[in-house]
Amino acid sequence: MAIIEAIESHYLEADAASVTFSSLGSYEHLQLRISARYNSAGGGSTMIYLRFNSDTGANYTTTLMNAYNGNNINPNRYSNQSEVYGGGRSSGMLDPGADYGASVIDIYDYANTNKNLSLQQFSGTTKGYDNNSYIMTGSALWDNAAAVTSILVYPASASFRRGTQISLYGIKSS
Amino acid sequence: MTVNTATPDYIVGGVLTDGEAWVPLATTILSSGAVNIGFTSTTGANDWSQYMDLVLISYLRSDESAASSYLRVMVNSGSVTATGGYTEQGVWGNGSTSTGSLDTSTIQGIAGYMPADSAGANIFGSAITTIHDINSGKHKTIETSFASDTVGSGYVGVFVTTRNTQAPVTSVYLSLYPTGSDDLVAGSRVDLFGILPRMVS
Repeated sequence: MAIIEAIESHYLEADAASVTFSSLGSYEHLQLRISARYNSAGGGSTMIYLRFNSDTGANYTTTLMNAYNGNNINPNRYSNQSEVYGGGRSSGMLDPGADYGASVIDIYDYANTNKNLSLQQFSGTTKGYDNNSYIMTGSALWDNAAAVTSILVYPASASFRRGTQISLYGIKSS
Repeated sequence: MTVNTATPDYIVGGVLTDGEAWVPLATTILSSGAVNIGFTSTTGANDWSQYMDLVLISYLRSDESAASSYLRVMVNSGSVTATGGYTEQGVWGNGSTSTGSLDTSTIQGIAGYMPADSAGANIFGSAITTIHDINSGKHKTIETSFASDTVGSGYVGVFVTTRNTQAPVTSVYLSLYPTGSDDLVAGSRVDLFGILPRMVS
């Protein structure tokens, strides 16, 4: 029995506003692995947003620890958001052309209807424009105990750039 | 070192099947000190051209005459590159202060700290390193989260490193910074996994 299975991979052959996973299967936990860039002409790296079950209500909280451009370290919390703010990090068009931000997001016990959904993520880019590197680790909560049936992944503005790769994995229990 | 060159599990009788997404590729457990632990793409399951990401799970200690050593991650060569071969940003804490650091043009990738010779006996540090989209034409982004508590001291943190090459990743090395007379000690261990994608029509 496979313990970790690949559910679905998207390798964008053209720019796309978002990627949706709607066949999540039956697992204990989920993991998103992302290599991303977005196409806003004037943008450096930016946040990747996540939304569950198409819920656009102010039901998301994100808590982050980040460092940028060297020794600038910040804790941040974003409450009452309509999406997971900071579900990952994407490189932007002002960054070097072959750079894509990397993110790994673990989503826990997503089918359990007795728990509100929580996740943790680790992401970063090293070569934003004006040396604006960015690294962050954080957690987020979707204040809803519904089983997750879909995950929307999208950049904070504009669209994901061609070449962006987003894959979803399922992790089984013993 | 043990290396998995068997026919991949997702090929059964010549037919593609859905198998494990994480494929164990190789393990090294040092029986004596070594300057680095390295892995290279070969054949069968260990042919890296079939994978999306690589993950290294490490448990290491150095013999440097210090409490902690820098850990280095290098792609496609264990040697330093020309200036600009790597870029790295990290943030770490030691229990009382936190520090961030950016190097925009360097010769090696940094992946955190590991316990060294003056740390308590038998204390090893852990690190989980992901190299993303290894066969793409992108620069190669490497993420490491590390933990190196040494009882009353030590570090915890994260690093992101870019190897500024568009070439596929065909080898990876973990070593100390700077390389030289100091070694990773006997008992240090690294397990390498390849992560498969799943394209759905």
